[in-house]
Amino acid sequence: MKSFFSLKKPEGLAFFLIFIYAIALGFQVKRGEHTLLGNLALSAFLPFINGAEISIKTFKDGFNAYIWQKDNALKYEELLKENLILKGELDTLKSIEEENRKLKQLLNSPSVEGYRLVVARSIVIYGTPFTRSLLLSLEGYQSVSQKSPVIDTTGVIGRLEEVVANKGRVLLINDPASAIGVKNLRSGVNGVAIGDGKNLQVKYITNDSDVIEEDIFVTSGLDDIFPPNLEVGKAISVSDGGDYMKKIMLSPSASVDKVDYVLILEKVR
Amino acid sequence: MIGHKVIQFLLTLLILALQLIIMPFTGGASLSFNLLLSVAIIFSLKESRYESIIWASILGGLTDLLLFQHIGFYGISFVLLSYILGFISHKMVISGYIPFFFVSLCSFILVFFSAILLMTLLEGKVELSLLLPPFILGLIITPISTVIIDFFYDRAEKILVKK
Repeated sequence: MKSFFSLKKPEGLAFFLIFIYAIALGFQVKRGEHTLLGNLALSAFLPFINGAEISIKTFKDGFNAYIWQKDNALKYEELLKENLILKGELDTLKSIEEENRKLKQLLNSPSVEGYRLVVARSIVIYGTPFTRSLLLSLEGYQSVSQKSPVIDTTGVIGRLEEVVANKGRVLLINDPASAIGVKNLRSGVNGVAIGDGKNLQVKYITNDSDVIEEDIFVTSGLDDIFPPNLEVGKAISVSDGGDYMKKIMLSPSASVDKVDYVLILEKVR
Repeated sequence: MIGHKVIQFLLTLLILALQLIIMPFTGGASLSFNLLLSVAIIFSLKESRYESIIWASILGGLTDLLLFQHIGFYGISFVLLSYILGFISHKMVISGYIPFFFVSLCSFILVFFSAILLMTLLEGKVELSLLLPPFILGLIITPISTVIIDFFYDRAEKILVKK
């Protein structure tokens, strides 16, 4: 079977020439901004062009979103680290602030004539049920002598028993081995406060002495260790004893069970 | 045979020159005075189908060059006309001035309207009312010019081929 579209045939030649002229017209005649062939080519390739554009745009958007997400993740990690560091710094600042507050409180302590104040940080309170001692850090205070009184802002804590290797051991006032000369602030009655492991017991006060509950006892200064008028404790129970002596129990004014900073009274020579 | 082709070529050149000469005088009726269409009709009726289609495409292209800025409107019309006339003349013998007159009349109508149709389809800006006078004029001029050119073509062929 012979082909219809052969240039050797009149039909084929006519078709070919008409086709060539049609193409030529397509290149010449304009419809809008483009020629007819241009429009035809655009219509034919527009889906592909649009598809490619959409693909590229989608890829770009996805890539940008990925980068943005990655950046955000990195920033988030950095912020987390920063947050941790800041929290750490805040904790440190809080502890410093607390320390500062306590030191400020110590600055409000009453000055005692003939003594200079030495600030020391407590390390630990230790002891058996009947003995109470406090270990102090004495870094930078080589000249602190033994038997020095130790107080805080609220009252007497004890006395320095020994100093070894920048550490000082304080015998707390509620230790059974501790004895302080005390005086009733209201009536001026003198006695000796001895520790019982938790509180203090005032001895050598006769039954006819004027002592009642809630009376404040301060140091009398007669023991040559503590200067006078430092608050020791408050009478929590007062009763007559069978040996003509009153049985008076004192609650220590200073919080001897929870000590952070103390003042050591160093005698000025 | 070479002499025959020379006659065709010379005739085409002569008619082209004549068309160029009369074009400034025709003014708005350029479509009507289309002597190249007459030549294309004569070739389509007298020559082989293949040859006449090539001549028609050349003459149509020349007409486009002379009348329009876009090449192809008359090119396509002339090729289509040549194919149809070739097909008809292949089936029956068309000879004599009267058949030539009517065939050229129909050819003008076909070419005119196919060109107008193409222009309307592609450019969409043809004002038909303006084309009515040239159309009527062309209906008269084209058959007459075809018969005259055919007469001279016959004479020239007889004289030159004999020599």
